[in-house]
Amino acid sequence: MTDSELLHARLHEVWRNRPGLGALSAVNHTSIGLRFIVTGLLFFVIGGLLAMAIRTQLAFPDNDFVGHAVYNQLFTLHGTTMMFLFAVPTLEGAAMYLIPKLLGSRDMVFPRLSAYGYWCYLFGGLLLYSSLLFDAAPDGGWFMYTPLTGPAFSPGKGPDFWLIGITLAEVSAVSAAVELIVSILKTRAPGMALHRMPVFAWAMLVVAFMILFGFPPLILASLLLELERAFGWVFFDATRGGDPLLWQHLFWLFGHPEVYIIFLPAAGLLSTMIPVLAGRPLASYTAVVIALVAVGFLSFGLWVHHMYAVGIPQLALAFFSAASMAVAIPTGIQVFTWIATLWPARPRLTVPMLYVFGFFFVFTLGGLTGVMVALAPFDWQVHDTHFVVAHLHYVLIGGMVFPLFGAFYYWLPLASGRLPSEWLGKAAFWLMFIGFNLTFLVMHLTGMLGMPRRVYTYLPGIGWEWPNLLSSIGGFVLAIGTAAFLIDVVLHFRYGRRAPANPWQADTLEWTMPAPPPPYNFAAIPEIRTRHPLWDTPELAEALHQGRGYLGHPRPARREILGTTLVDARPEQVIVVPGNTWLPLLTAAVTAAGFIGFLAKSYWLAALAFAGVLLLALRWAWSGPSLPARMQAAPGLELPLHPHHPRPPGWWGMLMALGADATIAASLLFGYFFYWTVTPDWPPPTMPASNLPLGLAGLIQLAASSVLIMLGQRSGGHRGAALCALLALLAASATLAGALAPGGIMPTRHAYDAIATAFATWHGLHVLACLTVGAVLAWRRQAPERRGQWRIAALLWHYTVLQGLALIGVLLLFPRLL
Amino acid sequence: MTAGLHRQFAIIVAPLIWAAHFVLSYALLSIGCALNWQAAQAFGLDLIRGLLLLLTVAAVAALLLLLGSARNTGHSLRIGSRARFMATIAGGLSVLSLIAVLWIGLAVVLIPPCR
Repeated sequence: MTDSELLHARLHEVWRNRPGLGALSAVNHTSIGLRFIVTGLLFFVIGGLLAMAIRTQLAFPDNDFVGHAVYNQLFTLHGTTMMFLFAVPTLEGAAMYLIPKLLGSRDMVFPRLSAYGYWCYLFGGLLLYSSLLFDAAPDGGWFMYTPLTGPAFSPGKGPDFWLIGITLAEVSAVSAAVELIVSILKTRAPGMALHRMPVFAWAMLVVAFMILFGFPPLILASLLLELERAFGWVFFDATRGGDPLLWQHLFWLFGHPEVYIIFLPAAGLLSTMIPVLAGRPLASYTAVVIALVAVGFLSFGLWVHHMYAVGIPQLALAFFSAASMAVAIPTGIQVFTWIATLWPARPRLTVPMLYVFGFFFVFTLGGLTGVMVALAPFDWQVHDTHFVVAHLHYVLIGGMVFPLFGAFYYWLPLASGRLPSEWLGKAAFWLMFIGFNLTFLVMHLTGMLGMPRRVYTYLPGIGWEWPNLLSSIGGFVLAIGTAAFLIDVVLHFRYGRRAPANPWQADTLEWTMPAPPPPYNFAAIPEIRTRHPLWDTPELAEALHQGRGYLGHPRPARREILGTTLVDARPEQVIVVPGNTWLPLLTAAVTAAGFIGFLAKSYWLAALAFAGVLLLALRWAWSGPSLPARMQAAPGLELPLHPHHPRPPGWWGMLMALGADATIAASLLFGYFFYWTVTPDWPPPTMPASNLPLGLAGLIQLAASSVLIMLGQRSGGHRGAALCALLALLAASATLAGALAPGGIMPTRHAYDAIATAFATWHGLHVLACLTVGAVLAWRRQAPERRGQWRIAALLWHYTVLQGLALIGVLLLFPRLL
Repeated sequence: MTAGLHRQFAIIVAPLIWAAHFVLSYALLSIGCALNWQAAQAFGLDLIRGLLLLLTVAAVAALLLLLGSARNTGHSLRIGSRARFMATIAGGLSVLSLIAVLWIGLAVVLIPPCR
């Protein structure tokens, strides 16, 4: 055995998954990424079958293939599945699979978190579909508008399955976002400064931040609706001070960024593939990065364009209309950059290239109809008609499915080491392309002829027969094309020809690895000096294979990855990531049990399960090998191991997770002030006044606990300070509880009571987390490697105090200002 | 490194100004209409739109300043350097944010509030 063979064998030993059922304990990004993708594709097939049923029903007037009740369930599950269980998770999976490989890292920073996210996603999807077993599939549309989905009009369990299953799947999206942000910012190969980062990493960085701020409003809205349904708390019931429009605001605060959360990863894939297929660099890397960041921001200013018909003042509609059109500018910048990249090139019409062209045609049309419906007066004409259905499918299938399928053909030779069939691939593309356009181009016309969405049938003689029949035929052609694609993918694992190394002559680091990639990706981490490492240094693959680079030492015994600085990617720490463990699966299973307990109204089970999650989380945080302070990361370079670094990855992870928490707090505040503008009596006369002096005393105690934590941290982790902070927090909570509700709050009485209780509950959950963490700090002895843990705990603590000051401060002071 | 983080934060200041302008405009309009502020008129303009225009002028001024500073720093830096890349990003984002803010300003001029 040569030295390099020995190194690879040892790395394999450290990084491999366990065999057989033990593979379920895998946490490695390659395995988890592939699991996300495969599961996502399975849900895509299910969602597609639902679509076939819809098109069968609509093919003829007065058709009785399904009744109206089943039809409602069909379109609800179709939309929900495609958005939450296919599009987002599959793209996250692609990102998890590709990002470390593109960045020159061996894994993501929180492998257990990605595994936990995967299981939550799987359990959430299964929970949603288990509604079929109870004949209780949700039927309120994928956006679940209240009051239709409230307790009065949907007394069954359908909405509960939706709310609980989808929230569980969203936990997965938020955890993936935290994971992706920290991995992209902190584990790029040395020298890969921000201006050399692959565009796909830029796209995913923007998307991950969008998930962090976009998903929490929906998570909150789902929790509020579930509380209204299960316990009668008032949030959306207008007779008791609530407002159903709050649901629409919170839903679309998520829902519009969601469209770009789906499109931008695909745009990142396109920006990676197009230059390689054209054989030249992207026409303007900088312009694409500017466009990605701009879309990330602007997409948060569009949500009301889904609500043009609900009676909001015209000037406010104009703000959202303006932002909706403005977002077309950065999107156009990207499209024109891709065209400019391809313009002087003579790309071969390979299968990925066909999908790129398919994307151009379909997505651009979807973008143009998007600008049309961004105009409020036009939207009023086509609102809730099939025109909108056609538009959104052009955007989503054009903007996501075509690029994704192109990406499959582009990266399959890496993932499997084999080539799919060129013939079958092209046939699949053309069937999909023709079928798609037949279905949805015609559907614009159906909408213009006035056919509304979500109706299960129509009468003959109003001119809707032919367009509907054509759309249905096209839908089946599209389905046959998709089936051909899936067959090609499955068959190629067995019958595909062996792929040559770097078959597309690409410039990015993933093509330095053997195919399929080993679980550790790289035997050594490269030093990056250019934006196109493989074009500028083709000998890199061989050097890395020999273990020449960072962390290429000959006796690896732990899963080590390199931590680098945020902007310039200078090596700063060695991060030891955990190996195979059952903790993620176990924690996700217990989390799901809690959600099921809630669904079944077995609140003892829910309480028990959430206590279990807390215990498992402690075990999770506690476990970790004791590591030396420093190690040699390369000849002449000694680096600290992550527990000894002042900012370990966990600190960054906590910071990002708190960003999501802050969004929930901000959404709660939005709800409070929204009610104020629409509810005549706010606060209602039934609401007893709070005790201001006592409340202020409580806020001071709250702030004091933060000061104590700060002092404890300054003195290197003082246990006494943690204990005092703990007591101060307990005292603050008791004082504030007394101050806020001298006469009692009844969340079933009025929306004011309900949202005040929601404020208190959200703050209380954070207090609980701080108390747990504080107890651990007070209990464990001081040690230099625990400094990082103190920092992470302090971050959580200070955030909790700030959030408490804001939420409780509003409850105490705002009614006195009115 | 935290200092570095501060400096790099500068690249997203422009879209943050757009976001602040957007959220404040929407909030001001919603609260103003709830409290019937449009009744107060001066110089042929109601109070709500007057405040919205002030807000827009402030945002435009801030974005122009930002654009100018990005251009100045950008020119003095080596082509292909990370710092120049960041300055270009900051400048490009200022232009896009400026367009988005002006677009909203246009709506304020043309459309009466609260209807």
